Amino acid sequence: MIDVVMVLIVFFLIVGRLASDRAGVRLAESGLGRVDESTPAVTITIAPGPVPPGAAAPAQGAFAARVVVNGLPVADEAELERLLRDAAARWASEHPEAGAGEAGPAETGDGPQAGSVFARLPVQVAADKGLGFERIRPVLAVCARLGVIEVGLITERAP
Amino acid sequence: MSGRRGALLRRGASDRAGAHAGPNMAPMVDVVMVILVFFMASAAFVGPEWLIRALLPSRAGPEATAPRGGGAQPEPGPARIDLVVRAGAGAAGGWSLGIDGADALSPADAEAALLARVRDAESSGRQVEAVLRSEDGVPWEAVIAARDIAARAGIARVGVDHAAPPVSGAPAGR
Repeated sequence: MIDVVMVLIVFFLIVGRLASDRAGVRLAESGLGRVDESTPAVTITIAPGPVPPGAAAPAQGAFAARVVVNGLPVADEAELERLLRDAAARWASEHPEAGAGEAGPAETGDGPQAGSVFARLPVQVAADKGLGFERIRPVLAVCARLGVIEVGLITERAP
Repeated sequence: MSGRRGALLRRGASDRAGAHAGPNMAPMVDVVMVILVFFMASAAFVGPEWLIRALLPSRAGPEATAPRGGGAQPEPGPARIDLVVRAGAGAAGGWSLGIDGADALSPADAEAALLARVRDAESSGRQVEAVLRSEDGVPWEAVIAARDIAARAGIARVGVDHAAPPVSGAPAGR
């Protein structure tokens, strides 16, 4: 029985990781990238499909794709913004050497700010290669609005 | 006599059982094997990422495209090229690339044109940066391919703009 339970645990660990991470995402190929082994603060996965169950689906600002941020499904721009702010605050507290400061009330403005923690926040985006750009645009817009200056686009290495 | 023989036999049986006393190895081997398989699977699925960097131009202006971490402003007078990925053209792959509002070109022609632009700019001592925009309906892989074209042409700073591009007055792909 212990053996069976162990096998089940392993099975669900693997399946859960895949399901929350990149399931259903076919990455575009690029020959001009580089290997990055750093740990991003935020990984945004954009996959085709409906908004995942359990996530609210408001009419305005809702994504037309399945957006997952660090394993959490996101339904709309407001929710994405909240998760990015949380991740930025966490990253700033963990990396004081980066001179990021705290992502506190000063980060709640609408526009990007010079020296903002978002300007240094390592963000990676993994989008399905078949998605139309109009489905990816809102995600990039939220990042840019918060002050993210650069993102890493996750691709597959072209042969 | 028979009682003593029986006692000896029982003692021998208990000795044999005592020789095998201790941790049962079979479940432990099973668990170890499962852990081994888990780490093998993890190693197969979680590898280093293959990343390309893209700037996110801000609505505040082109100065917001400064590279990460520096707050450094671009060199004075960089030549900026506006690239627009257009959908539905007759080019291979179903997309084409417009350069600075001109008619969209096939990816191969666009790369040659960009290379010429970069050489012109570099001959006058200017750096080149590009802002990439995309029409609705253009697949993400076309945007990545367009970004690769710009990088192959020698443009190191490429921004992916989230704003919708202006509507083309001329049909794409001519």
